[in-house]
Amino acid sequence: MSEWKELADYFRGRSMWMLHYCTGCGAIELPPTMTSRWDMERFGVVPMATPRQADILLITGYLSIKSLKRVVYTYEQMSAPKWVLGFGSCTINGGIYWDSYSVIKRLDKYIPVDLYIAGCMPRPEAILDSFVKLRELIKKGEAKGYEKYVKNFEWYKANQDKVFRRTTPVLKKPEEVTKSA
Amino acid sequence: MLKHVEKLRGMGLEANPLKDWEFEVSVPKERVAEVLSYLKSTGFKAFIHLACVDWIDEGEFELVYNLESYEDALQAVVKTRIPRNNPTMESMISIWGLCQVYEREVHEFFGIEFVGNPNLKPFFLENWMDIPPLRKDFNTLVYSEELFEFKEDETHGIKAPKRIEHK
Amino acid sequence: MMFFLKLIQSIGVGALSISVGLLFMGIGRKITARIHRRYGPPAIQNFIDVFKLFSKNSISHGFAYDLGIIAGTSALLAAVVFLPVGQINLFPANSSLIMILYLMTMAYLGMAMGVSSSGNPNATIGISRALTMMMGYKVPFAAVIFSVYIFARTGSLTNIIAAQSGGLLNWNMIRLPFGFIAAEIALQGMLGEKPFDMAIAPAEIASGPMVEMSGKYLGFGMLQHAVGIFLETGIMVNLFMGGAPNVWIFVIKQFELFFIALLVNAILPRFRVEEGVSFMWKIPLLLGVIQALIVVL
Repeated sequence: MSEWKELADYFRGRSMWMLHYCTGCGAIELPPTMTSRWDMERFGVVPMATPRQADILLITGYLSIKSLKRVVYTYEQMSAPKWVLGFGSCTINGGIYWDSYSVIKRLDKYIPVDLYIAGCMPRPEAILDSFVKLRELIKKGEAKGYEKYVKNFEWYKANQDKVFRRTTPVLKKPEEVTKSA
Repeated sequence: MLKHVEKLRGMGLEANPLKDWEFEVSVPKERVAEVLSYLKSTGFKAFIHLACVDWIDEGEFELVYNLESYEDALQAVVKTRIPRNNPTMESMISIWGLCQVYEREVHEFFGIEFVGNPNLKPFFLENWMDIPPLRKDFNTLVYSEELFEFKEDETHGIKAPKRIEHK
Repeated sequence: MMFFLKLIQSIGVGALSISVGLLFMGIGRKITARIHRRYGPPAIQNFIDVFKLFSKNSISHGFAYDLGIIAGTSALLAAVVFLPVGQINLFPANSSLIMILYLMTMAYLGMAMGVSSSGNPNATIGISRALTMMMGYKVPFAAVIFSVYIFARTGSLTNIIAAQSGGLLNWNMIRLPFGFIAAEIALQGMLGEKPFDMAIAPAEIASGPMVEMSGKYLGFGMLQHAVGIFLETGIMVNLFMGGAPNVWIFVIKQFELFFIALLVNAILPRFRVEEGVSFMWKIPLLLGVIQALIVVL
């Protein structure tokens, strides 16, 4: 059985179909990555049109609360095994939106991220490097984000609901945190 | 352009040229509809934008109507101030139907009531319960720390990101 | 005993068609990449893709969905069994072209039933475009087949191949040049290559029929495409290039046809569906009718 797993992981690492969720400025780094200058198809990475067909979800940039909701739908529509790549500083700690009221700060809290690409913006070389790193992680069996999501489903849902379905104001006493006029 | 400024000064308003192609006019709250319909009749047919500025130290909101005249290639900036503790304003829907969307946005982000606007539902924000977010007394840092707090949570297998070094 | 022998041979032909089709797709991706001045994936990339797809979890959308996709793949595999492949001709008495074309249409209809039941509007739009396009290219192709029938005075592929024996000048490609050109254009539509790939337009309708396919279903879709490539180029080789003495030469001839389709695919943009159908009903149909008139008169 473990041989079968190893064989499957070998094929999974060499044929990663990607769905890119282009929210922010990161989308502009993808056309050069796909086309003749950097050519990601040589790693078996092909852009796909729908979440059903995809293996990798590439989140390129910041996510507001509204777009996070769509990302969660998209992630849950993908069929396992699936991986998430967080692209750019915004997915790690909010990046330049570190104190924004509408942009989430840490993607890891809402869906499991297997690999972050740091930078603002990461260059196409960094994206290609992340595909190679993800292939190594898959081969070593360390990229198990989809299993983590199933195991900690309540925790993730609670985090998501805290953002999506809050019933009380976030700032408990507005007058206390209000700057004096 | 100067003739527009002279005309507006003649109406008893404070008008100043800003650039060769732009002038501003400060209007009391009650006369905004009158001035806007006057400017529309003199060629400023396009309503470009409605902006709002929060002058928290003076206790006032400033509404800024940007108009453009395509025939004369001129822009007009109509400014009015309303009190901050009771921010209500007359809706300009009867002059430009387009104002409906801009007023809805300003209502959402500054909490200004536009009397006469039929649709002031939330526009961009979902499930918003705090004070409007673009007011200066809304502390966005405290808000985001409160809502998006992050602690490393080892029990759920959520670890701090590790750096993968190059070989 | 005879039955089991035929059964094993049929499975062998099916496996051959799948592997040749997948290899063609992989080589096609490589060639397209080189035309774009890219390095491109390895030629066996499509085998890797299919194995990966079959190792994934998949999401079903009901009984009709499963049935449609299985029916589509198995109809094409059944059609391949009746195709003379080089020296392999399992059913010489039954290798009727009409039957093969009928089974190919069955494959499309099975696919239509399956993907429409998924309930995704993009899938329905995609399959309706595919069926409309099929109406477009089947008409000139039927005209060409008509002239081949009249010319060879037989409807069996075995006899059509036999009639072309004896050198290059006896091939229908040389004897029926207008018909060959019309059939080449129709082949471009059958393969679903540009400019006739409106059924699977990834940017507008999110890859059309495949929009709801995941894992094994998409794997079956890829197998179906692979068998389709083998079958469609195989029919063209038998009709116009005189068949082949053995499998290797057969595959090389198929690849020549596929290579032409690839080059056209790499440089052309996409037609809208009504433009595609009206193109098919003008130029290739005209060529096909001219060929039929020449043969009849």
